[in-house]
Amino acid sequence: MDYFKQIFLILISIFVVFTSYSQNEISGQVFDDQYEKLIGATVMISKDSVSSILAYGISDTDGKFKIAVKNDSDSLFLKVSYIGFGTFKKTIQNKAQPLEVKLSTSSESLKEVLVKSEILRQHGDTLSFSVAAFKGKNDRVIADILKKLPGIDIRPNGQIYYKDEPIQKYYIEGLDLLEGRYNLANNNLSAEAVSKVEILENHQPVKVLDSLEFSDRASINIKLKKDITYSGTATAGIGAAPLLWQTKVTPMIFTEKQQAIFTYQSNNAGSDVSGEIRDFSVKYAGDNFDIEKRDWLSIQNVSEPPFSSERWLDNNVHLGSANILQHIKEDVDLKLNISYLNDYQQQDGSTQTRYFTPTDTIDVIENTNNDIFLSKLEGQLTLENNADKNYLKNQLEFNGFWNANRGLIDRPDTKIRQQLDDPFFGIENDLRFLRTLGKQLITFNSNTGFTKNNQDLLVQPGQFEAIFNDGDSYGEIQQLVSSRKIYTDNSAGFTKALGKFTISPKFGFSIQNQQLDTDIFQEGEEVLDANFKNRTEFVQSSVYFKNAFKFESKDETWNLNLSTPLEFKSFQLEDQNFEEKRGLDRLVFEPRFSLNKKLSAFWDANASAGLSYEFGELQQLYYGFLLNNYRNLNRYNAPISEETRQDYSGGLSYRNPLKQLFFNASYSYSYSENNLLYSSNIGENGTTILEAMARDNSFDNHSISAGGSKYFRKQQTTLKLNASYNLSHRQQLLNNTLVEVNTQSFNLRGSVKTDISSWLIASYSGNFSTYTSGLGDSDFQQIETHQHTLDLYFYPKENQYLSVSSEYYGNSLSDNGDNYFVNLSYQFTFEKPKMDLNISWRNILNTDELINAYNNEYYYVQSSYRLRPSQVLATLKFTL
Amino acid sequence: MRKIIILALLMSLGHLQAQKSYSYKATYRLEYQEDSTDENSIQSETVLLYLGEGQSRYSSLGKAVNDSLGAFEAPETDFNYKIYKNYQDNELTLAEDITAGRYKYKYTQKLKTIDWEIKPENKEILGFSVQKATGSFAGRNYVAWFASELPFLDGPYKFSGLPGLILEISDLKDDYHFTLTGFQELEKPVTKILNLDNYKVVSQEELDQFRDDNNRDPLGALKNAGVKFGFRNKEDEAKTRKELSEKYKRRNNPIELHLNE
Repeated sequence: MDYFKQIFLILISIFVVFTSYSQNEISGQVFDDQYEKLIGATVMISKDSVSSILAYGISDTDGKFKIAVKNDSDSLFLKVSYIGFGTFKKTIQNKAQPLEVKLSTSSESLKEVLVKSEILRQHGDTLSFSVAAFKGKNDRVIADILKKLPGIDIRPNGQIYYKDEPIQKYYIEGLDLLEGRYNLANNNLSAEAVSKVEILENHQPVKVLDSLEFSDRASINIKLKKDITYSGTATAGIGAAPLLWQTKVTPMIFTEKQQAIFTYQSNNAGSDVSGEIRDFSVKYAGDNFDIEKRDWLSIQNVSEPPFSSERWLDNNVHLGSANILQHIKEDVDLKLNISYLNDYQQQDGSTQTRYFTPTDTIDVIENTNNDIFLSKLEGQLTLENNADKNYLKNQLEFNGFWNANRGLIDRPDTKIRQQLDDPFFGIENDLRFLRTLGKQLITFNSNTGFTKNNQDLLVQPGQFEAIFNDGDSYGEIQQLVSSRKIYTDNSAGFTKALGKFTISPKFGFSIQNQQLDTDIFQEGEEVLDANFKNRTEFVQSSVYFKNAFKFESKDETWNLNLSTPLEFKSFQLEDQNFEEKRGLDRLVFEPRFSLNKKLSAFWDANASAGLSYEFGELQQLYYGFLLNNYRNLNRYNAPISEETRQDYSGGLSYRNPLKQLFFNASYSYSYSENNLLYSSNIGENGTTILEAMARDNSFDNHSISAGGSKYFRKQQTTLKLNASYNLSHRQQLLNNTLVEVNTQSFNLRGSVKTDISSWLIASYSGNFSTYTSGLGDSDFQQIETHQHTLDLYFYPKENQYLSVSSEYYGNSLSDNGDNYFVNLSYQFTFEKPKMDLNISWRNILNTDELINAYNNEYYYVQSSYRLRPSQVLATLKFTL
Repeated sequence: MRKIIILALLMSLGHLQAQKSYSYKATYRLEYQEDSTDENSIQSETVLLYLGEGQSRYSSLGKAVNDSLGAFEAPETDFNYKIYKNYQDNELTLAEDITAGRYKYKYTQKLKTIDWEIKPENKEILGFSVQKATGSFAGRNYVAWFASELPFLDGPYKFSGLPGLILEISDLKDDYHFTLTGFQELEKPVTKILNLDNYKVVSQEELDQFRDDNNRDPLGALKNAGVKFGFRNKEDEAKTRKELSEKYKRRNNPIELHLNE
């Protein structure tokens, strides 16, 4: 009986439990203390004030709520809360009932919590990243870490971008040791030595500009683990055949007051080392004049192949660089950056040139064998005072070149030896000074420089016999050139924003004085005829007022730019040997306008127009003949050249990333008028005499291009197609006959890239072009060139990859103009010890030369360039 | 004063340009396994939820930092979107900038998509007493822990609708796991002009597809958007492509496995 009773009780209780679960609906409305309905208040029901929530509801747009409660207890606990109000708490009966809840405002704060240090900390505009958190097992140098940081992007040449804008400064422990040559630190500073990377957003490196001029660019600061750090990387490579080497060692040291980075690199594997010391910094001072090396004389060269230098450059290069910084006192730094490059290059090739003149065709066959010795010293001494009230940066830059070239031309009938000595020296001082003047900030820039060039070209046997030796052959001819220039460019300005417009006026003056002295020696005897000498002095001066307006509409659909530089230019040319002086004074206004308009989500349009003037430089202004090259004799015995140029362009683009379809088309037209006409007289051996004469003539050019790309998702394939067409006309005197030179070119490029599987990617690209030229109505000369490339990339394992590329180059002119190439590259990454091994096998087919053809207005050239033989190179990279 | 603010908010709700004000900030650590086949591929990011009256704004930290400085927007996390929840209109808008800010897209969907089931379990997270709830969303089953003492119907990502802020939420496979690391009242409310007019309306499917295209070939996407590259040689390009394609292969485990219709 007891047994039954128990079962009965259990059954009853189950029944009771179930019956009591018949839902009770609790409903109501929530108001605030002003009797306004409260939307989104949380209404919670629990058994009592301490137990967990059984059911809940949220007040709707009328402040009403409805909650179904399944519970058997007699009473329930109601809690209603809303942010900014005190929680309403009440014990209610467990039965269906309408409730009215009134909440009253409360200033009581919610509990706050904060835990553990995060990877990224932000203070002001600085983002700080802990390197340990981002470091992967394959990361060696700081560049490997930087790549992973949000917003950072390192371009193939090493330039660092943050949010699509190049960074402006690369600091190490707050000091700017390398200026724009940060590749040196970025690629060689071991990631182990670094504790944090800071990104300084909207960074204004000039303190006095802070809060006056907004900067939208970022800078990077590398924080090291220790107060005194030694670091660096080394690479060693060896290959065959013949014996190849490739080495690089980059030690560095950082202390509180001093920093230094050194590098030494050397190879004979055709690798171009100058990229490591490339300068990405932005110059502020006047850009009218510079100390760049300009050559008057040259030896005959063969045009370089269109692929990576590692397959054709026969070099033997050594590069050393030292970069030292001394932190003198608060805000004041002194820096020295110096580098020296020494290279010996050999160049072998042959060219066949055919000239078309109105009456004749002339063939020139040359086998070229050149030895090029490069020796270059570059340095920069910088003093920077970056104080709160003013800013001063003075940079002294110097370049020295001691280059020498030897060339041997082998022609069917003769051998011609050329020897060129080509020393150059340049020094420049750049000063930038900023100072607050009342509420306005004034900027001064001053750029002053000097260059000196002494070139000496010796050609054996002598050329231009008709001119120099009454038509008889003779032993040697020597051209000496001595040129000097000195310049200064000074300006002052300020920038002001007026609503949506920004104006930045700048006022300045510049002056440059150039001296050119040239002499020709025949068989060691000076040629005394004034027509073969120059004693030229050329003075260019200018007073300018430049102003730029910018306008951007708020919704980013319009973007207008207008610049209106006004400049008074004056040119004076004198030659001691000639009485006549040449001069020119011009007030030039060179407006330029550009416009971008977003038409819709997918369509964009742009247009631009501009007017500009070009005036002769000394390179096209000398009276007496100059032997620029063993078979080129040039002079410009004419007024100062004056060219007026108008250009217009328009374009349309369609970008639909949703359908992965992209298309763009553009057209541009330019027209220029020149007061000088150039006359070329081509002689029997291809010797060319170029002169200029006063005669108005014009040049016009039309260009059309269009292209598109589409990605096919199912096939995982991208298809691209581009076409362009160019048409131009100019006038020229060719062997004393005035001719119209017409050129037309057409280019078609296509490519397909497809992911065949997760471990294999294939890509093909083809390029077809034709270049046609003609004189007046005469028949056109046409050359077609083809190029096909197929690349396969294999990724068998995560730490390995293999690439195979095959290429074809061909042209319609050469009989044996088919060139085939295959190259292979393999990389393996070791975890312990940390090293990267790369093996590359270049030019597997051992193709010994590249045969190429191109034409240019009235001649075409077929050239062959001797390539590096089939070679294998293995390199190992590790940190010091 | 409060009424005026509410009124102003309600009035401005019709159009998306509005002055938004957020008084509280919840910080979460998101741990996610980007490769479903590799347990070692766990990544983590800090995400932020700004809470205001009847609305919230969710984004990754990089994004939030970026906006607060008024700079233009570019990819700097794996999650480039912002999610605006609006309780009055019962909808959420996801706005995303893709390809270094060159493309701006958004979609809007209904807010309440999860049918939560309240469980009796309790625990404590950072001193807040939280209660368990379960629900499913876009192909994953989730366990959420909410704190009723924080009366926000909100949570990270698209999660919402519990009677208290969600302090921890993870799916049963633990591929995505959000944990609160901080909750603060802001000294002065952060106000922002919300202007999504420049964002083109697309469907969620279109945006997911486009994001995938962009991740698959970011170099190509940038090229198409007009960014120029000058690879020094093919080996450099191959190396970059390899890194990117491996990254893409690893990213095979999105939070939404299928569209939640």
